[in-house]
Amino acid sequence: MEVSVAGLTRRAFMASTAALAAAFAVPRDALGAVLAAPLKPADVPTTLQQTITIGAPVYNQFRKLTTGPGEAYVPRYDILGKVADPARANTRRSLMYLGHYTDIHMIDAQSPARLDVMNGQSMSLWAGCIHPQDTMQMNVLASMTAAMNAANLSPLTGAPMTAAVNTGDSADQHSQLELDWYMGILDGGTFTPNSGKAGEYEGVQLWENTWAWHPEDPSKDAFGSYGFPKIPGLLNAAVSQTITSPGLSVPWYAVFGNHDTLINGVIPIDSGLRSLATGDRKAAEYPVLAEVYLRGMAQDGSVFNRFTNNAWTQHGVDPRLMTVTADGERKLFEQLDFISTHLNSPATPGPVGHGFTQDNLNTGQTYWSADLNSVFRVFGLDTCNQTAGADGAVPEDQFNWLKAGLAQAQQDNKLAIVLSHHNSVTLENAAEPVFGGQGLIHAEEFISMLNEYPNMVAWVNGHTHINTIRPHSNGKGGGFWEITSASCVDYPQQQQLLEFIDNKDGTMSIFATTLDHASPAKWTEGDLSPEGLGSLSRELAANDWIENPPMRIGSDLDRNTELLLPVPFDLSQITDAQIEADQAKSRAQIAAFSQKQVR
Amino acid sequence: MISGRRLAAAGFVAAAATALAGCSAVGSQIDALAQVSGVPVNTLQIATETVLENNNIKVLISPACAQSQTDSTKYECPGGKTTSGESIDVTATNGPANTFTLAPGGTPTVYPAGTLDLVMNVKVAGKTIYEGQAQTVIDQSQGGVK
Repeated sequence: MEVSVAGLTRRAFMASTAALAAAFAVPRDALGAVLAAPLKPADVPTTLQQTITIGAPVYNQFRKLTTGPGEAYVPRYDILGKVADPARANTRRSLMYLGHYTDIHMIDAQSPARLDVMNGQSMSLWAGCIHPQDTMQMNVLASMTAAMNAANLSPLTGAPMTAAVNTGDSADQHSQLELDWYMGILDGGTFTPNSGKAGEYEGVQLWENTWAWHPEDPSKDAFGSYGFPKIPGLLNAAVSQTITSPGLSVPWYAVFGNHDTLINGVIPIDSGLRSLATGDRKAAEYPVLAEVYLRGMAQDGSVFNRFTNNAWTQHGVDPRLMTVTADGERKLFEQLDFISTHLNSPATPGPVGHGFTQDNLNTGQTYWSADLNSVFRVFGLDTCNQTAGADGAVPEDQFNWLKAGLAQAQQDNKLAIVLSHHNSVTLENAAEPVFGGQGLIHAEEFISMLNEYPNMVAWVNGHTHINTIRPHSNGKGGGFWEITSASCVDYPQQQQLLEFIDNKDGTMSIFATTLDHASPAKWTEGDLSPEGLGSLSRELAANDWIENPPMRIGSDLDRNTELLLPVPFDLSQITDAQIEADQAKSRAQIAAFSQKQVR
Repeated sequence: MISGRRLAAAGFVAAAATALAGCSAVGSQIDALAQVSGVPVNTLQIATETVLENNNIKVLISPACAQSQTDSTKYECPGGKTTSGESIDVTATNGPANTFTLAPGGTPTVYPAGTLDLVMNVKVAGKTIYEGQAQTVIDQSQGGVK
């Protein structure tokens, strides 16, 4: 009888090691040692160890961030309907471990097509068009990717991360440059978050009388009144820095968000805005942008006003347009560009297309499915509305495609995860084009359909920039969990780790862990290094009162949680050898990444 | 001094103004700008769960908050239950849109109705454990008022 190594026979283990070593270009002996080591909870920096909180309360005043104790997992029994047996902690086996990005909102802060001046019209209506930390968004994503890589072994079981998923809003203002930057940070590369003039910031945070935080001298703006600091040199430092990212250590998958579909996530893009994006004029006041480039979306947008404004603008004499350095790379992308850019990605960390395939490009279908390992099938939806509005819906053809896919997954004994940008409280957009529309499915019907399939265990999404976890019971003792993560742009700038566990007692658990990015919790005055700027970004976001920062962190039932479910089928059909083979592949990929870093 | 280019543009505008005299104004398209929804529901859900945590209530089923289908100013969070079987009931009412003014001399910020003025009542086993602003609960959970 052969000696077994965990779930595999020795012969199978050796053969598997040799194949993986060749596939990932890792020395066979080194990989063998990695794979032979038993899994144990990894000592990785997450919110289980330390949290970041907003500091001492002072009414209407800028607050620093501080650190707090870690948060243990809170078990949630909403779907199970009863308290689970504590003995499950002794029998857990990990089925899959994922990273979850959402609402990355990569920002080219100087783009003329950026709607940053619209807050002058209405801060609540145009919330999110501008943030004090806009120039530092690449720092946040690079730092989040460092945190994700540091946590590529599970803090609960030590299982290797299988993949990461990104549930949309990757490019903030639909710019190809933003799309390239976000993908570059996740795939790996070196970038300077600048467009236009080299080494010099040109934009609303420098110009007088714009509604923005002016770090050179905030004494005359609303942010200064609130206590936002004076940081001379910040803007030029932010657009001059070099940020290097090793990329993610695991494959990653992406779906569309409303910001990847419409300008600012709400308005169709017209030719005027496309020209503005690559030209040498940028609006310093909102009326010119609203009336001329945003289809008359101004409160005083009369025909006369729009006609005269158009005339002034076309003749290049509108005093409300500032001259900036033109940059053709700022072009606004088309829907298929989003897919083709993902298809242009490198093989490592992969997969090429990040979920999208050549078939998506050929047919224009904007959703996909993939098997993340031998146990899980994931469905990447496009819930964005191409007509108008931030919220979403599920088009009828996609709804039917998903229904058939879930049925097939159930037949194949696969556990299913649905990815989408929108969540259950934001799936009510009814806007349809004048011609060629199709039926739109909204939250109630969508949830009801998902609940027809017991193998459907998790709906992972974003959009609201709030940590939120919702149970969806099917009324028959089962159901699925909806898991919504906060964003990279608004406070708390957290993302998630998700681990799927077979408790071997008739229940399974999804462990959700919130993840802070790797920049220091407290910003040190004067630190304009890449890590320091990531830290400053979080602190500024925590004070951006328009976005209601304290709400976005969610409750304790939305953060570090154990989400229990009854098993949808007999999980003993999933063998230990099968899981071990899945994990060996992921461990090999992570080992290859680590080896590359050492070099 | 006005440049020739600017002068030409001004003449063009004047001609256009004459041609358009009498045209009716086009209505605002602001209504077409549907922003992210669900803020009051999320605020209430988070505040509810925070109140329960603050009162050491062991939750079996968290009450699920939703806007009333009959009155858009009302919210209800039915279905809540503690691990010892007691019911958790939450209701809330929207106030008007809030204006948050920076002091001194800052710019007023208008928050959508229900975000900063959402008065909630949380009952466990029929007994009120919290009555007041949802936002206050959230602010206090994160180090105090905004």
